[in-house]
Amino acid sequence: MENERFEGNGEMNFRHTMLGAAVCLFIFYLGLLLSLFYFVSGRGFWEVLIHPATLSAIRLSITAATLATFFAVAIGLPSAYALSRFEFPGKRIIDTFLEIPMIMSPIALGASLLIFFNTPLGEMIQKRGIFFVFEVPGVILAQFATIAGLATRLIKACLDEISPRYEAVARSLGSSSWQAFYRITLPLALKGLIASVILCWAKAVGEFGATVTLAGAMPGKTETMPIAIFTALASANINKTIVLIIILVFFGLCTLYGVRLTGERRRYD
Amino acid sequence: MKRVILVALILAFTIVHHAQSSSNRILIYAGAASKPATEEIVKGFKEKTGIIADVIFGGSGFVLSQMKLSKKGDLYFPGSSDFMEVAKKEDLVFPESEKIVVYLVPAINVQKGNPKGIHSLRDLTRDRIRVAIANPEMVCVGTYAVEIIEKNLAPAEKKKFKKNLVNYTESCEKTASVISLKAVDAVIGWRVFQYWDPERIETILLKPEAISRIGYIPIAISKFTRDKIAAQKFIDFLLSSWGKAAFQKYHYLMDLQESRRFTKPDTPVGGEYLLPEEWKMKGSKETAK
Amino acid sequence: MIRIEGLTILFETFKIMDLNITIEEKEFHSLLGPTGCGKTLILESIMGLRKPTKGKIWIGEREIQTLPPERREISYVPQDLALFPHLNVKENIFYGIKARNLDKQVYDDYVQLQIQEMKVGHLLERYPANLSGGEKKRVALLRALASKPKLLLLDEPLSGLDPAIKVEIQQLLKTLHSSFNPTVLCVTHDFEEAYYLSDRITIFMDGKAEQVGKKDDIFLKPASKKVAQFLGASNLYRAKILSKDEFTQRATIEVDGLQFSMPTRLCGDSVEVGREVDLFIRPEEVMILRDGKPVKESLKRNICAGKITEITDKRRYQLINFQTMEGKINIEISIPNYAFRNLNLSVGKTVHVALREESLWVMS
Repeated sequence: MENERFEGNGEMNFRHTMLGAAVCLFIFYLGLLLSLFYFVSGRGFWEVLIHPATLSAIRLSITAATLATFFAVAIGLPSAYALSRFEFPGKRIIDTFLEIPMIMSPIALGASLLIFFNTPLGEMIQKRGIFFVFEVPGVILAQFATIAGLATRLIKACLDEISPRYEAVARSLGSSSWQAFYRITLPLALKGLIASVILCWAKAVGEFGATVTLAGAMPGKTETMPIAIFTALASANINKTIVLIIILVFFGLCTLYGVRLTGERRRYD
Repeated sequence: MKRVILVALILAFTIVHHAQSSSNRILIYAGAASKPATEEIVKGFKEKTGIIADVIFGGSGFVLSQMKLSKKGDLYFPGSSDFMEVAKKEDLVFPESEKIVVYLVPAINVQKGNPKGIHSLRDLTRDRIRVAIANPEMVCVGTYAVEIIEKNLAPAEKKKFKKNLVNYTESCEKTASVISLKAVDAVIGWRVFQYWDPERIETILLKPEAISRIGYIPIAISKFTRDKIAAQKFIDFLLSSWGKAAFQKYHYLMDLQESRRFTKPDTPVGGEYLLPEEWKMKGSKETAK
Repeated sequence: MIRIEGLTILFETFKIMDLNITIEEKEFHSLLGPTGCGKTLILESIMGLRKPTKGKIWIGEREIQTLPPERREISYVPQDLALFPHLNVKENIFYGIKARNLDKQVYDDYVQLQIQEMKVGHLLERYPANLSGGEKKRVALLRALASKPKLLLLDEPLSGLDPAIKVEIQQLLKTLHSSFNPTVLCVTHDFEEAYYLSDRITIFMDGKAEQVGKKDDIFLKPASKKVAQFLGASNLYRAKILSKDEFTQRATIEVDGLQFSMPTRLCGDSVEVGREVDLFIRPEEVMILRDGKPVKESLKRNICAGKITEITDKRRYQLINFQTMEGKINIEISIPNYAFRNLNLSVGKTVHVALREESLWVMS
């Protein structure tokens, strides 16, 4: 397709402009990353990387983000299905509410959660159930709160693309609603689903404001990578800050790219 | 058309340049510990001298990073002494310009009304009390807290305390706000926290012998300053009676004698405390569920 | 036998009231109506995807309107076919058998036979994206029939097809029906399609069933002017019944001053003298008389003279517009090409035409 170009300056200009924008964006982010290397020293890098606090932060970031994404999709997928396929009163209100985490700054979200656990209901949950404030479950909850609405929205967009006719035919052929969903809708939505999951996971890994407010910044306990970066900066330790940023970005990019590769192997041609 | 653009550019440049190097402004990096008083002082300073002080508030270490990276600023006004030590070590301020502005005394802060009935350090080792201190590696009041624990509690009590310790807060103000938000039952913070949020925070004074150190809020001129004279004027204003009155309004301790009311007569001011390794990273083994 | 009784659907602007449809076993029944009249809603209700406001559905002796779609054994081929893109042809076809956990061995022979009949044996490993339009239709039909449903619902099966493919699929449906005898309810707006494929037709307009019957009955004897117009009838006239003779069982009808004679049985129930009715005759049933040729008995009584006002070449036949001398009535006449050539017609020529009295039809 790329070799078939129309003649004329107009076409080339259009192409160059569009491509140029993409390249500029890439250069912008690449530039940010490269400027980090300007400040960092080699030996310090390794020291920071193998420090138990760093390893603990990496471990916590990945575990928490994965769990938070899991929960977000677990409730997001059925919610998205309902919003996509069903008509019911209050549908528009629910849909709008999903935007709340995006409007609320992360710190506002974290503070709201913290305040919730001060209410009688919140206190009861913490006494009888799990302790969230300044504990690891709080990390997962904060991340979940941040990405759940997004997950639902993304998955809904995915499902909207799949015609309900497929399910209708499947049901006429003898599949129950569950089976039709599992055998027909889900496989067709899989590619988009994976993309949504990746996006939410990335957002969870990078989450800072809500996590630090609700779960605190306890090194070795509730310190995720973004929090560790903040802590380093707040200690005026620029070197450590940069090393941690590089580690986070590197780790994150590898994971995202890897998942993208495996996702692309499934095709229905 | 080209001429118009050229003129506009020159005009814009002059204005921006003028604004930046105007001798009517100074830039201060301030720890949030002194925010309420500082805001008032800035207003008074403008009225008295006509100089506008732009203040960047934040965690003491955080704003130091900002100053370091931006290579801008006239004054560094951290919330406590140890970041000033860092600034001096990294040659970011003029050490001879350092002055002590107010004194700080550590204390226990609890939720207003003291629902858990905490009256002493030992009460913090009781079962099911949730305590927080500032991160001792980066916030001065946290280091002070560790020193107090180390020097006043027996090893068994220390262990119990650590069990109750649920969080390291990342800044001075966060240490106060976790009480306001009722996230914990008590913190070891500054005595003045109560006055930051009187409706939600109550201070429980420590016994004089328990306090190992008197803290202070310093200020110094940054090496990046472009107007040393204006910067010095601000320091002078801070230490003037006007400035002192502002701080007094917020119940800061103005001089050493005042502070010694809460401590032993020979308690040192500032200085360094070497943080024991075990406090550096809170291992998950020591957390109780 | 499949019975739909009192089906009422009130949805948005659609108002379908008290629809009754009866489909005999192994019958190919068409539900014929203009586009946008709610036919898809009816299909969805029959299938169980939509809850109608009221109505009962029986398959044999079983009342099924309370059953979910997967238990009704009603297969559905939508207009866009909806072949599962992620399954190959074989998996698509066998989907119903798998879903219902039917004994594969029992059904295998049956399905293999169908595959052979439909000539899709060489396509089994392919995916729907790699099939042609005609191939997709075959697979879709097979998928629907493989599990031997009690009723097959077709939604506009021939719409949007090229003429050649249309013929192919039309024949395919006919073959399918004769080979495997499924009970079919086909929903369409195309009368030609319905006429070719169906045994019986229900005409559905404005939310209710206007006429039900064998295709010829509807074609030649529409129940009302509305139906006749929908079927594209052109020779519709406002007429009055002048007299009727009990003895000869004949009636005289007047249209704009011109009188016609017809048997009373073709006037329907409303044979009251003085009654205003609609008179209808198909263009193919009007003969242009050749000078000198003898005239048949059935044509003798309704001859009128007039001029040819227009001749339109419709490729497969010629459409003649004719105006009577008396009353200036416009009649459309359809003549096959071979007959046209023998008549030597031209615009403006004066001719005599005869209306075949057995083909006159009165609607009230």
